[in-house]
Amino acid sequence: MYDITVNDFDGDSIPDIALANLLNVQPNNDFLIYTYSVSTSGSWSIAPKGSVNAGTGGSYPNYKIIALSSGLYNKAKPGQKQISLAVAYIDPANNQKMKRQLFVASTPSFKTAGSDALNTITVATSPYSYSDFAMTSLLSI
Amino acid sequence: MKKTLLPFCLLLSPISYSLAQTIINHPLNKTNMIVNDAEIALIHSVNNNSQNLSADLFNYDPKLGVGARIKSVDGASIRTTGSGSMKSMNTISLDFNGDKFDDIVYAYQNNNKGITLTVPILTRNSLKMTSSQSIPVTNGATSGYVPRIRLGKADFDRDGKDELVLAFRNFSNEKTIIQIYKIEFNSIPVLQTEVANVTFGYLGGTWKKMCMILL
Repeated sequence: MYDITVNDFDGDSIPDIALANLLNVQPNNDFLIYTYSVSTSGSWSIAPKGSVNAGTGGSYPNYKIIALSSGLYNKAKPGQKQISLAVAYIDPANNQKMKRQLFVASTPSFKTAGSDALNTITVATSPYSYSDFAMTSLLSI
Repeated sequence: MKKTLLPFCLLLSPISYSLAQTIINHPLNKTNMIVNDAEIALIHSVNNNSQNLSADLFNYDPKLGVGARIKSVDGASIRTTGSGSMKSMNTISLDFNGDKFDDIVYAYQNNNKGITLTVPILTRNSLKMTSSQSIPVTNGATSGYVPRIRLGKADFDRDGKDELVLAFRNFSNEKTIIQIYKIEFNSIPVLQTEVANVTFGYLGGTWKKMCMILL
């Protein structure tokens, strides 16, 4: 588990939870984002709603960090809070990279929108070792 | 407020903050909430023999000169972890009692003996920490590393008080656990519900020895 973000992803005015995780399953060690809803009627409960594969982590220790953030990144869809994911990893073909991906959590199950990110950009390429990527953070304002 | 996304890499630590909190939630001034200054809470390890975990509070005043804007207000040792292997911590500001002013919660791994939630009690007019309440986390790992501890907040039941969200990887069963706590006026967190994710979390978490928030 790497990071969480709390927001009303499905527009029902009740906050939901998104969690970024790295599957410890060879060979890919995939990154996944999971979404959960929270019920406060009677006994409180947390229910899994959906997940999306956000990419391949690669082999240890070439991946390092996931940071999650959420916010309304698309004004055309005010009812959907989108999730952004930052991933830093070592690409053997292209040195260390840090990438940012953007997903949308949509109703009714508010899974993220398929396996493809809405947007992926390479934020930075670093000459440093993978351990330096432990400094990643995402900010939504 | 205009939404922007700013992924960035920092030299010392991951830092998360909300600009909105610096304006709306202001612990020092109950009568003038819209002010243009802030407090900063910093939690960090101390690299001494006992591996203390410490908290420091700072005041930020933009009306002062650049070199004087950040002033240390208080600092206190939270806990002696007793081991350099302790490496997971997180902190967050939230208004758990509905008084419109943010409070602070720390979560950290003790010397391979589980996770502790600590709520420091702050004196508003001085920002001094007078005492604290701590609880062990239910289903927190009792041995081994807990590479990631993450905190979130939301008013799930819309009672005007923020609830605390805690997520961590349980060492013993390799599952990710999400818990939600209410924190009452006695500052003691009370578990409301939890879910154990069926997925794996890899041990190779990141070194997170320092976290900082703006209040």
